[in-house]
Amino acid sequence: MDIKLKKSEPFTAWLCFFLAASIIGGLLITGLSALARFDGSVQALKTTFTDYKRSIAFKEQTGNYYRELFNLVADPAADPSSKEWTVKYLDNEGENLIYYAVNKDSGLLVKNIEGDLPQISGAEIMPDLPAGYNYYWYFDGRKVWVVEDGQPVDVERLDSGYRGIIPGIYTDNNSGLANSEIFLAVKDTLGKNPYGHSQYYMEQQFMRVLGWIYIALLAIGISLLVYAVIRRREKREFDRVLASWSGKMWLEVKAALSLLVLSLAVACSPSFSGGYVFTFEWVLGNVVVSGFVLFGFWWFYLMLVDLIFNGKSFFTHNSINSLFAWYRKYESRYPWQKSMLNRAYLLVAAEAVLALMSVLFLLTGISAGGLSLLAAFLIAGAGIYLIYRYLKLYDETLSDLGRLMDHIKIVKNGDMKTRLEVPADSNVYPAAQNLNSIQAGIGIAVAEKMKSERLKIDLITNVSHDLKTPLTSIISYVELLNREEGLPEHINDYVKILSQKSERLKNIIQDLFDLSKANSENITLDMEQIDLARLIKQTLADMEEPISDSGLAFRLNIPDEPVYILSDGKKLYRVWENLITNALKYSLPGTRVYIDLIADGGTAHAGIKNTANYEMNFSADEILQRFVRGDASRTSEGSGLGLPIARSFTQICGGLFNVKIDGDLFKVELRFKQYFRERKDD
Amino acid sequence: MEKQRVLVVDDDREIVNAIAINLQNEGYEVLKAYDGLQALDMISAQSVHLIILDVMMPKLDGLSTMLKIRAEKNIPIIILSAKSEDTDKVLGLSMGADDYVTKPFNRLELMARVKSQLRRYLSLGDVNVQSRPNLLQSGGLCFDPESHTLMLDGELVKLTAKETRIMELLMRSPGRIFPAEEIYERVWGETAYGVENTVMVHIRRIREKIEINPREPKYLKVVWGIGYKIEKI
Repeated sequence: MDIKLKKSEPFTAWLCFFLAASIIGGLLITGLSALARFDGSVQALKTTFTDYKRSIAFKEQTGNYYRELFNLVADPAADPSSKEWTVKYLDNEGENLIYYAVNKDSGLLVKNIEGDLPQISGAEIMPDLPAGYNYYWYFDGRKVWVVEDGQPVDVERLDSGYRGIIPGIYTDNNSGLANSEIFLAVKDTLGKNPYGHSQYYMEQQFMRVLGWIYIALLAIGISLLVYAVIRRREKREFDRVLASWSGKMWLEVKAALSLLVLSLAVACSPSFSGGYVFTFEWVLGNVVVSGFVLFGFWWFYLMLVDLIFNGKSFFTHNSINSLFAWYRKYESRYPWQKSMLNRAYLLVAAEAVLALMSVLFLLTGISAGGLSLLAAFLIAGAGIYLIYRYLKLYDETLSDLGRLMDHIKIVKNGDMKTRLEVPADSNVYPAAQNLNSIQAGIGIAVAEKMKSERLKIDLITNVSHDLKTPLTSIISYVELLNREEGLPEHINDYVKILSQKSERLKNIIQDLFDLSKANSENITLDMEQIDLARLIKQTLADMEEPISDSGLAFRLNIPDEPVYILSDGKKLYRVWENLITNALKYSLPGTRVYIDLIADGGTAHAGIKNTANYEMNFSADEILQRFVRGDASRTSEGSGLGLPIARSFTQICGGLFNVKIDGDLFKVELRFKQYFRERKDD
Repeated sequence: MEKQRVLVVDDDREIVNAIAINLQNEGYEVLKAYDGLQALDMISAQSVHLIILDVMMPKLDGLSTMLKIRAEKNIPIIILSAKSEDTDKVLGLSMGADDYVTKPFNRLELMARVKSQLRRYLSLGDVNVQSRPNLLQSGGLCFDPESHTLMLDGELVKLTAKETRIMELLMRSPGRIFPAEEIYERVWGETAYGVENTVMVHIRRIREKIEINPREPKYLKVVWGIGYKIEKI
C-alpha cells in the first residue's frame, strides 16, 4: 500500500498542477474574453464585476428594450401585433422598468406609466420620476441621453460601456423621428416580478452566483497550484513519464498534431468577443473556447516537456530515422559483406525510383505547373538526401574500419590496455567488440605468464638460498677441521675430499642459479656499446696463466680495429671465459686452439675451435643439454654447465650460439649484430 | 689495548658459531645475535667495532637492521648473504654496508675483509685525508701524488714504478674507463700496439696487492670490451 501510494504521488502532484493551470487558465481566458468585449477597457470590466447596474449585461439588456421601442417608433407601418408583442416583452420586467414611446407624426404611443408623461428636455432636467427610479434613457427625436444617478453619461466614451449598444444615437431631420420621444427608466432595486420573467433580476442573480463561483474557482486553482509547486519534484517525475510516452511519437506526427491544434485554437478565437457578457450563453461559450485553448496549451506543454526530457531524440525520432533503424535490423540478419552489398543495391534501386518519379512530376509540372513542380523538387531533394546519408554512413564505416585495423596493430605491438571505442550503431561494432575481448584475453594470459615467471624467479632464489645456507655451514666447518692439527693421516684425507666436494657443490649451485636465472628471461642486463675484439683480448689476458700452463698454442685471428656490438660486457666475459676454459680442459695436448673474429660490416662472427682429447660420440644438441658433459664421466671438476651457461648468456645478450662437431674438431660459433653508434648519431 | 669487538648476526646458529671460532682465533672478541632486533639491543648495550650481518633473517631483516644502525652509528658493517646477484650487492652497498660477502664464504677472505674494515675504522685515516685535499682517494684506497705512494686502509702498498704510474693515472679520474692503449701510451710513453696482455698483467699484479679477492675486485676493475677503471667509492 505504501508503495502504491508512492507510485501514485507523481501523478497526484501532476494532476494538481494540471487542474490548477486549467482552472486559472480558464478563468484567465474568460476574463480576457470579457475584456475583449469592452474593447480592452479595464474600467468597464471593473464596474461590470462590482455592480450589476453598471455592468455591460445590464446595459445590453436595457439596449434590447430600447431597440424594441425604437423599432416601433421608427416603423409606423408596423404590424399591430408587433406592438402588442413589444409591450408584452417589456412588461415582463414589471415595476423594474417604466417606459414610454411617442411618435406624434404617426400617433404611436406605448407606455406603462400611469397619468401624464414626465416632462423632459434634454439631460439637464431631472424629470419628475416616481420614487426609486434614478436611471433613465431619453431620446428626444435627435439624440439619446443616458442619465445615471442624475448624472448624464458620455455614451461615446470607450469605458462607458455603451458603445455599440445604443441603436440610432443620432438621427437626422429627415428620418421621420423629429417629433418622437422614447423614455426608459430602471428601478434602483430590482425586484422579482410575479407576472413574468424579469431579465434584469435573473441576470443580477446569475451574476452574483457567477462571481462567487469565479472566486471559489480562483481559490481552488491557486491552492492546487501552491500544492503542485511544493510537490514539483514528483510533478517532474510524471512529466518524465509523459515525455516517455510522447517520445514514442514520430516528429512528423507531433508536427501534424501541433498544426491541427493551433488551427483549432485560431478558429475559436473570434468567438472571444461574441455574445453577451455574463449570461449563461456567454459562460458556456467561454467554457468551450477555454477548452479548445487549454487543449492547445496542454498539447504544447507536452511538446515542451518532451523536448526538455528527450532532448535531441525529440528531433531524431522521426519516420526517416525509424525507417533506417528498421532497415539496419533487417540487415543484421545477413552476413556483413552481404548486408553491405544489399545496402548499395537498395540505394541504386531507390534512386532509380525517385529519379523516375521526379522526372514524371517535372514533365507534368511543366504543363500543369504549381504543385507537381514542387513535388518534383521535393522528390529530387529526397534522392539527394538519401545519397548524402549513404555516403555519410559509408564514410563512417570506412573510418571505423580504419580504426579497427589500427587497433589490430596496437594489439600486435603489445598494448593490452587501450580499448577500441566504436559507436554501438557502427557497422564494425561487433568486430570491435570481438577484438576487445581477444585483447582482454591476451592481456590476462600475458599477466598470468608474467606472474608465473615471477614465481619461478622467487623459487630459484629461495631454493638457491636454502641450498647455500647449509653449504655455508659445511664449508665453514670443513675449513675448521682442516685447521685442526694432530689428526690421523686418513682423517686428513677424508677432510680433503670433503673440502673438494663441497667446493664443487658450491660451484654447481652457483652455475645452476645463473643458468636458471638466464633462462627465466628475467635477468637484468647492462647493455652498452662494447668492442668484441677487445673483450676477447681482455679475457685471454685475464686467463693468461692457465693458458700458458696448459701448453696449448692459441692462434688468434682478431682484427686490430674495434668490432662494436651492443651487449652486456660482464655476461659476455663469462661466455668467453667458459669457452676458453672448455677448450683448455678438453683439448688434446700439443694441439692448437683457434679464435677468430670477422666483421663483415653487418655481423660479427666469432669462433673458437679446438681438437678434442676424446672421441666425441654425441651430437651438438646433446652437449648443450644441461649436465651432459663432454667426456660423459662425472668425476672431474666443474658443474657441466659451462656450455649451457655460455649459450644462454650469449642469447640474452642478443647473440646466436652454435656448436659444431666435425670428427675431433669441436667448434663454437657466435654471431652478433654489429652496432654503429656513429651512424645513429648522424 | 682493548680487544676489538665484532658482532655476528645470522639466524643460522652454526654459521654464527663457525664465524665466531674463526674470529676468536684471530683474537677478536665476539658477540652473537640471531635476529635483527637482538642485534639492535646488543649494539645499544655495548660498544661494537664491526658487524657481520646476514640479510634474510626473521623478525627484522638485515637491510632494515642496517638502516636502523646507520641512523645512529657509523660502525663498519659487512653483509654476509646468500644473495649473489650484482643487484643485491649494489643494493646492500648503497644502503650503507661497507662490504658485501656472499655465502658460502671463504674463511680467509672473510677474515681479510674484517681486518681491512677494522683497520680503516680504528686508524681514523679519514682525518688525514680531509686535511690534505690533494690526496687521491677512493674508499680505502688513497694515493699521494706528492710522494707517489698508495695507501690501502692506512697501510702502505708496495708497488713498482710502472704500477705506481698506472695507479696514479687511474686514481686521478676514478670511475673513468681507460682503454689499454691509453694506459700504455701514457705510462710507457710509447705507441701502443697489441698491448692488452702487457697492461692486463700489470693490472692483475696490482690487484693481487690491493684486492682481498682478486677474482672479485672491489677497486680495480676490468670493464669488459672497453677498458679498465678505478671504482669511484
